[in-house]
Amino acid sequence: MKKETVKRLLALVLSTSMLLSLTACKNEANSSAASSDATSNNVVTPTSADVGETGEETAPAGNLVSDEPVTFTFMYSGEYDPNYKALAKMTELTNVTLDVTAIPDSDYDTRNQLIINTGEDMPDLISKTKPKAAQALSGVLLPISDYYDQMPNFMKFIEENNLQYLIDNATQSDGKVYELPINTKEVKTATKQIFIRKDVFDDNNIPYPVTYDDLYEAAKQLKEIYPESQPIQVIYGNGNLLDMIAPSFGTSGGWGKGIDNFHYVEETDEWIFAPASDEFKVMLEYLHKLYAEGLFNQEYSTFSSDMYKQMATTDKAFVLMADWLGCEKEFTEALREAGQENADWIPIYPLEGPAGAYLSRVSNSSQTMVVAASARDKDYFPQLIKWLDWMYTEEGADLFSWGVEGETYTIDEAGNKILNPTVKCASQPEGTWDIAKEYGTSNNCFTFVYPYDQELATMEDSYVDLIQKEIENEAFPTSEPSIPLTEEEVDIQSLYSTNLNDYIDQMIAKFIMGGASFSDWDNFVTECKNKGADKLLELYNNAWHNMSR
Amino acid sequence: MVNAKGKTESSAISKKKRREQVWKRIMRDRVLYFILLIPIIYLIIFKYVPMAGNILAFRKFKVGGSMFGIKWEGFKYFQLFITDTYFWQVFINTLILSVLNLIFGFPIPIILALLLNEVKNKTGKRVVQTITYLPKFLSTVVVVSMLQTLLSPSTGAINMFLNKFGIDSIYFLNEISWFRPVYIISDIWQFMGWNSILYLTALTNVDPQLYEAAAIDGAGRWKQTLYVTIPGILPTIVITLILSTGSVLSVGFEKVLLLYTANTMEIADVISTYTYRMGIVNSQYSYTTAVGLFQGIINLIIITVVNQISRKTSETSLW
Amino acid sequence: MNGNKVRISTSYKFFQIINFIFLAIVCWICVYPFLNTLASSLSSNSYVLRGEVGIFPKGLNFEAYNRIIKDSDFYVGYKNTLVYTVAGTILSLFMTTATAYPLARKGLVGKKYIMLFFVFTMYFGGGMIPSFLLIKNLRLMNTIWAVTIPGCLSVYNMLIMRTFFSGIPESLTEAAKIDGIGDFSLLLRIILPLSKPILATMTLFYAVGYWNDWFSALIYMNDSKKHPVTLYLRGIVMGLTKQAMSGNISSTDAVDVAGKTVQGATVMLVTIPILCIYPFVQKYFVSGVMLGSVKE
Repeated sequence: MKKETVKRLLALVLSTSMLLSLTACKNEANSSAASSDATSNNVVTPTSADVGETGEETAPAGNLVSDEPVTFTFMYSGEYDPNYKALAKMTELTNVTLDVTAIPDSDYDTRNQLIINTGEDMPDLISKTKPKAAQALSGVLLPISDYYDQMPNFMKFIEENNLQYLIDNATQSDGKVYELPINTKEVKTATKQIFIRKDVFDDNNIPYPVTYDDLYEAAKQLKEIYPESQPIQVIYGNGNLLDMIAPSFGTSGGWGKGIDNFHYVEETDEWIFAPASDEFKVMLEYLHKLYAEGLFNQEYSTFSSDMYKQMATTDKAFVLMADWLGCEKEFTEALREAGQENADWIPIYPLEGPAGAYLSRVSNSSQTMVVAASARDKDYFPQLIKWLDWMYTEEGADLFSWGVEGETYTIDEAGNKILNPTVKCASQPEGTWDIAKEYGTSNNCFTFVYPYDQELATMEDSYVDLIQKEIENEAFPTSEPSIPLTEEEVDIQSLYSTNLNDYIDQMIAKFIMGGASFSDWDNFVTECKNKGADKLLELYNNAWHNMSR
Repeated sequence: MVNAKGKTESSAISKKKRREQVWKRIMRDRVLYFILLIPIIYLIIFKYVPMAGNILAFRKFKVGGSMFGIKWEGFKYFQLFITDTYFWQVFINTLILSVLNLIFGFPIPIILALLLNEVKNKTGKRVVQTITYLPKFLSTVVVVSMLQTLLSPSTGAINMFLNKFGIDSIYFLNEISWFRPVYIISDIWQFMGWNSILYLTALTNVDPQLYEAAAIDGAGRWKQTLYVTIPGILPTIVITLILSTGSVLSVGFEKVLLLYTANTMEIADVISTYTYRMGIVNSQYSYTTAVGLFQGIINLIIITVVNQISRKTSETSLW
Repeated sequence: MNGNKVRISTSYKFFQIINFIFLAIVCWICVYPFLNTLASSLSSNSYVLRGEVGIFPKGLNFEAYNRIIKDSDFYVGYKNTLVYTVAGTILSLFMTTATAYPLARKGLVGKKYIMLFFVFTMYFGGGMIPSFLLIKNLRLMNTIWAVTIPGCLSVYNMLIMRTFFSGIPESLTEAAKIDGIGDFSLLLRIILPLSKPILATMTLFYAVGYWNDWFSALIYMNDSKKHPVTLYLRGIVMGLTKQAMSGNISSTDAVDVAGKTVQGATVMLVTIPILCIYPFVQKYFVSGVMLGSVKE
């Protein structure tokens, strides 16, 4: 009896809720539109008094973006808080509000590819996206380059910092650019470094390695003293390892490899097939030597990050080939808590290989974003362009890096910005609050420009010297350029790309770990050709030289 | 016996009679059809309508263009993978992995359920049931990370154990011959508890009177299991088996992707991971749709065959 | 449960001992990772890094849990998960029963074709994009229906339920029909009360399915305030692995990785509640429910 009533009730509830949902959908659509109107209506249009400047001649840049409140739709990756104070300030300065869809980092790619590929109902701005050739040329994305003439601040920023190569690299085969650089550094730096156990080196009188050969010698000594150890470790396998050491050997590989393992040689303005080059062979031979003598982690390709960290905190590893600044703190602390009071992991200056002393290839801009073509048809499109431009002005850049003047930083008499001492960051570990969490600064989506002075101010003191020395000596090589391909070229590429790359990855692992002998090197090269390396070589060089520059 | 004319006459009459009978049966069951209506509508809207998207396997996809493609390409995308020798290697890998998984993995949950059934202590039984299905809740990433730690040649527990007996460390994750065992055994471990729940449910359906009758006939516990328990849950077993054969070509993607290394790729690579890598080069939806269609067809053929076999040999079948 | 009047032989006693040992081992290997994760979540980071934590916490502290508890996203996600799971499970039970019951009736005309109609969908789907467009066009984006309706009928589960219903003696149905009871009442009044074990199983299967589903929300929910807690968890645990695989780690990412302790705490907080469903469901796994209703 009871069950029957329950079931009947259930059926009733279900059918009613289904009906309601259809109406609710409509209501929701209405209400969300209403609320966004409400928020923009609540924004106070700044008067000249608010902005602190006087006179019509020197109207502040902020005011030029929009006379009326506008809202752009924005697709965002990672953690987001609508109450970010920097956003509020931005609305105050520019009359722009962002309607943000926040997607977790871990699966952002799935979502943004879906949106772009269906091309339907796209948000105006999609962050953290690198458009593929097919997507760019399809017409769903806005060719930003058509509007460069309306973005003087952006062009100024590019020119002042010699970032024209970013635009060149982003140019598609139709001569247009469909993306904007974000997280753009004025000065190229990177935080991926080589680390060593300072105390272990000191205690055993081993000099800090300067070249890769030094590293080999040092590792040998360490192995003798600590037979249970595998002195050299790397996390994330070959991708990370080759990314790090290839530039010092005069080539590129791993994550830093050029398109399909092709390497651009500036001197000859030609692309070569990297894995077949002598430099690449020398690099693999070196790695093989390390591996074969037990100096290099024997399991690095199947190493979980847990195990890696364990090695780093228990005297099993003394050199970390490629990790990010900040990691060593955790490790040092763990070692000290276990009783090794002198334990100290420090980053060292990049090691020198046959081609010089370099870190992994980086670009000034680590991320890009795209604009939907549908934005062009919206009323607020001119304001959108203006806003994008504004984000590259000093005002816009400072807002999302330094924060708000008077709250997160101050300016001294010399015009330098001083970070508020209560802010917690690497340089101020005793700080009490997190500026990024409260203000929404320094994240991958809103930070279009990453000013060098801010980077230095938040960086830990001990790193500053290292980074500056690396900048001085140009230890940060530029990432491989990209080649714009037409649709037909992409079709050809897809015939060979996967199989060739798979084969190369397999052989690299075999050469390093000993599954293949270097006497078979010629066979390897031939096999690569069989898998299409020659055809791709021709394809890329042609595409490169045909580029409208 | 009846002449040609008579035969046609009677068969015409019986045809009409049959149709009347059929209609009578439909009317008798009309409430059932009514109940079925909602799920059928749901199925049409949410499963069959999107299926139309499969036409993309025959048409060229353009970003932002229609979901039905912009140009008819016929079998071009099918040709792309059918003529790709590597694709067939990957196809064989997938088949072997699935079949082995089936052979070794399928019986284990059943055995576990039977063993659990023998536990008299009710609380103990519940505790064991709950604990054994815990691993299912671990994400694939976590499981792979655990495997990497456990199977490490230098620090992993398994190798340390082997070393005690004087056996050299085996680099499990990097050896071709170990990939399948590692994959299958970890799958068994992760899902045996969860999969046994179904059989435990089926066990509750077995009439205790049958056990008593068997016991009276002098059957010990083992014979009871053979002649009462197993036949009692046989329909469930058969249905589950048939359903499992239908996913033979769709073996797990994430786990293989995280578990394979450059060394083991030759036998570890499966259709889903290969297609994934191919799809990265360009958002080649037409290609992936074609492969998906291909997988679907083969799976359907396999399950139809298995279903037919099952129908002939046992009473249970899907249809 | 069965054969309580049978004399227990020695060999059977021996078997029970072996069985006990075997099951104990199985339990141990299944529960160890969880004990380890629990212990890690309660330990201090340094011990966890050094791999010194077994099944007991070292350097006991609740920092990881504090961090999560302070995060409002966690609560919002949790609420969402609960709502989606309950709504989805109820919907699914309804749909699955509505399909399995008629298809279990012997002699249903056209049964074979209807079955095929359903089974076919297990092997052919439209894929992510057509489904996405469908939901969009039905104006279900960003609603609870987008995460509950698409998956509300698992044909696999339906087939299992149907097998169960088929096992109910026909004589029962016939007896009821003779009494003049219609199919619908038959279902509600007689069949369902007898089907507690399978309903319990289906509840478990579907509830777990909805609880663990993060993908639907990723695709269909624009508003992060509607994301389930499993998506939140994924961000914490998976955040860097995915990016590492494609080499897409930037400097800010790498340092922000949630430590193992926080990962462990999130896993515990998200997994434990769903595990608690089973005990509730278990009490329905009692045999002999059906017996005595029909004299064979």
